Amino acid sequence: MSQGTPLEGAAIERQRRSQKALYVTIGVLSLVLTLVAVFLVEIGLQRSVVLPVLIALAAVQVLMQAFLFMHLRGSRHLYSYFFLAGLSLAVLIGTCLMILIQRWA
Amino acid sequence: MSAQGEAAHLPLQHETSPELGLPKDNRILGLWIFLAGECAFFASLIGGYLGLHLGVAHGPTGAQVFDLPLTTVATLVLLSSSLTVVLGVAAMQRRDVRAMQIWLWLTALLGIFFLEFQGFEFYTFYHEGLTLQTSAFGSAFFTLTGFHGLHVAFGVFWILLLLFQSLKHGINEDRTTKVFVMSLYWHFVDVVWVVIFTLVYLAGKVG
Repeated sequence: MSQGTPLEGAAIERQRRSQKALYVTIGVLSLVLTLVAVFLVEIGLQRSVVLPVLIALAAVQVLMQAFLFMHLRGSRHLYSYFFLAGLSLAVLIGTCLMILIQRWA
Repeated sequence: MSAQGEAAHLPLQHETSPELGLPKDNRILGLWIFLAGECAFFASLIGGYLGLHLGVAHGPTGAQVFDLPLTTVATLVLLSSSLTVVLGVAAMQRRDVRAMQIWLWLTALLGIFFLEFQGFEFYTFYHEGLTLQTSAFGSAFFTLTGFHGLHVAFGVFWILLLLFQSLKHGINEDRTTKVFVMSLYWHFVDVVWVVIFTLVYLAGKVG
C-alpha cells in the first residue's frame, strides 16, 4: 500500500489534527451546555420560560453528537435519512403516547 | 502479528470514506437502522413517563427525590465518555492502536462510573420511598432509566470485548468497522441520556 506523496501525507495529517481539535471543542461545548442548563434550572426561572430553552439546548447537543461525533456529516446521506426518520418517529410516538396517557389516566 | 504490525495493514484514507477515513460497510447501515428502531423504543418510554409522571399516588414526586448535583456529575461523566470514544476512533483512523486502546479503556471506565452513579441513585430513591411499585411515576421512571442503564451496561461489555480482541489479535480492517459501529452505539446511548436528563431530571426540578 502506498502512503501517497509527502505533500498528501502532510495534508491528511493536518486534516486529522483539525478533526481532533473539533472533537475536543464539541466535547467541551457539550459539557458547558449541560452546566448552563443546570444553572438555568437552579436560578428558579419560570417553567414556561426555562423549558423551551432547556429543550433547545438539548436539541443542540443531540445534533452536535449526531452530525459530528456520529459522523453523519460527511457520511452517506442514507444514514442521515435513517437518523431523521428515527427522530421523527420518536417525536411522533413520544407526543402521541404522552397525550393519550394524560387523557386516559 | 503484533498489534502495531497489523495496524500497518489498516485501510488507507482514500480507500475508505472520501473525507473522514471511515469504513464503508453494511454493518454501519445496519446499525443506523437499528438505532432508528431504538429511537422509537426510547420515545415510547419517554412518552410514557411524561404521561405518567404526575401520578405519584402517596409516594414522593420527582422534585422531592431528584438529586440534581449528583445526576449532573453522572451526565458530565457520560458526555465525557462520548469524547473519549470519538478520540479512540480518531486514533484508530491514524493507525495508533495503543492510543485507541487507552481511549477505549477510559470510555469503559467512565461508563462503569455512570452505572455506579445510577446504582447509587436507585438505592437512595428506594430508601426515600420511591420504588417500581410505589406509583405510576416510580414505575415509569425506573423503567425508563433502568432500560437506559442496561444499554450503557451492554455498551461497556461491547467496548471491553473489542478491547480484549484488539489486545489479543491486534486490529485489522474488519475490527476497525466493529470499533466504529460500537462508537455509534455509544454516542446514541449518550444522546438518549441528554434527552432523559432534560425531560426527566431538569424538567422535573423546574416544576
